[in-house]
Amino acid sequence: MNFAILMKQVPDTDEVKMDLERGVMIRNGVGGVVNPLDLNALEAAMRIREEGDSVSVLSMGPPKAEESLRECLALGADRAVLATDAAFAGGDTWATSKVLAAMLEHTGLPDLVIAGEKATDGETGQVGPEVAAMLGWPVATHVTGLKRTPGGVEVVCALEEGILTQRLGTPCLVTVLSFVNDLPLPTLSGKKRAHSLEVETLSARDLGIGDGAAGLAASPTRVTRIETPKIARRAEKFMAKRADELEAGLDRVIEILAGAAIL
Amino acid sequence: MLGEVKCSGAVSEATRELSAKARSLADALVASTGGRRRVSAIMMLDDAAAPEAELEQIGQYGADEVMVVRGAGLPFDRAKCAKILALLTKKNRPQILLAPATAFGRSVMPYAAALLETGLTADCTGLEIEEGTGLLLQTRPAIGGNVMATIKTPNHRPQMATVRPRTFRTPAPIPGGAAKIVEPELPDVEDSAAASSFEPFKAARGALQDDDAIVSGGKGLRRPEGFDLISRLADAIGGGVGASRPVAEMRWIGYQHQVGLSGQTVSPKVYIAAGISGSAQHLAGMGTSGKIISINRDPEAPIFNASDVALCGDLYEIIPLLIERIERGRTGSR
Repeated sequence: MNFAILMKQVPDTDEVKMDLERGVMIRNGVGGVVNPLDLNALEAAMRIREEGDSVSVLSMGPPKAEESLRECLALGADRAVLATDAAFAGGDTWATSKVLAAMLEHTGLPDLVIAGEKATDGETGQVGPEVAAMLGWPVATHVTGLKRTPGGVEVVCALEEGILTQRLGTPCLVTVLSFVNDLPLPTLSGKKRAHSLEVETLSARDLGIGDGAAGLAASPTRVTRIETPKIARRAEKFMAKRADELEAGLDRVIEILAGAAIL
Repeated sequence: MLGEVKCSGAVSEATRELSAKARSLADALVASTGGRRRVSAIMMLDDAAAPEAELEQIGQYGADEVMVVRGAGLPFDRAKCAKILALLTKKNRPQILLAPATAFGRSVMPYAAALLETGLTADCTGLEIEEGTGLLLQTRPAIGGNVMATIKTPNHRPQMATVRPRTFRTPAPIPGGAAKIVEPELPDVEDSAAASSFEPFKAARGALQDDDAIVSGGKGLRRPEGFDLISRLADAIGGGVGASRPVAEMRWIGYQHQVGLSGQTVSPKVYIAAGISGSAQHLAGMGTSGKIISINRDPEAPIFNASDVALCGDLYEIIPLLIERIERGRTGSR
């Protein structure tokens, strides 16, 4: 069984600072890391791979995403491929999926594609299912368990109301949650190995993607406005250190619960 | 719009919310561009789910018709649902296609969007019709909830969006409203997945999104056992248990409890946040709750700026006192 992992390099912080004047993200000085759930995706493949299987990691991004691909090599991937081209910039999930699907075709279709459920920056969770659709493959999302079966995989999915176990035939694509496994720590031998391997790069032309068929130009969606949300409420504040404030605070909570017919 | 049923087979609240939202968008489109607009609710159902009478009632929330597609285990076969949805969309050519941003909607909609070669906006918290153009303005939290981005799909149809459940309140039902039930003719679509089992979480407890009160715990609990105290308070008020992302990721509690952009959106009547600092992504998942009560040791915790009542102190002192008071009140009223 051959595996491909879809990896995105994301900003290395949860607390992204905003330029409030312009409503854009401040990217200067923000480092790039592997999207955490994509590390779970890679580890999921490492755990079920068998002798003779190969694990490739594919990414679309700027040239500096190579560092993140190298990190995946250090964690055991056999091959790393980066699609990088100015023409890919600003793509929405549809345009991004188009490039990733072309990469999968170009590098040789695997049996199983694994991706993180969503990326910490975009948080859409759409790329996995969109790539699956472009390949016409079965898909499972919210995966927290993965096993090989004859002719496919069995996945455990955490849904809102319960746990679904289902079987998909290969080739197929699954997206995983962090609950699927615990991440391994990088090893020295892994890092050495990563140094000895090349990160392959592909351009739009290599992938047969013509002018205007990728990136912002090919994206069906357009961001037209960015605003800072206002969820401010004026809290009544009670300092629990002072016995009288604590009493008053508890009274207020009881009052609210009663007012909402919860008590 | 794509509706959904609960595992009990009943039509989900999110379906009614979306039906009402779709109706108001359709009416706004008529006002803006004229013509007639139909609201169809598409339901992918397991053989046994949702009796016809209940499906007709979606009409009380604005749907003109309900398109019903049935099959054993169909809702769990995401690729098959998406292929059917794409077929129905190509045939009926709607301007707008909405679905709840649940595990079901989040997997079926992107798959269908790719088949239809159109755009899709995830997790919208606002939908409006733009005056003049009649385009759908899709607003969603972006960059971890730090900003709200408004997105358009100018040249591709349908304009597709998933909507966080509990974002739009369900209006009062229209008395006597009944949607027409339609069973569309479809070519055979192959199965792509076989469900082996579905194990609901605690039978007595529904989804977190349905709770009127939620008590959530975060890193301020300092240890996993802290959720025992959170559960005791939740039990005392008959509410659900929520959690922040860090503690869910540390496995102190299951993913189904995670509230926020990366978990579930909730909007209970009362939300109690204990030991949660209030990251933008958490606030984006519970900011529309009726009343927000927070308990935190840090007087500068951002959650206090999003709260109605802020109790600044140790949750291990405050919560037992609160439970005691709730229980005392209960005995007193007997």
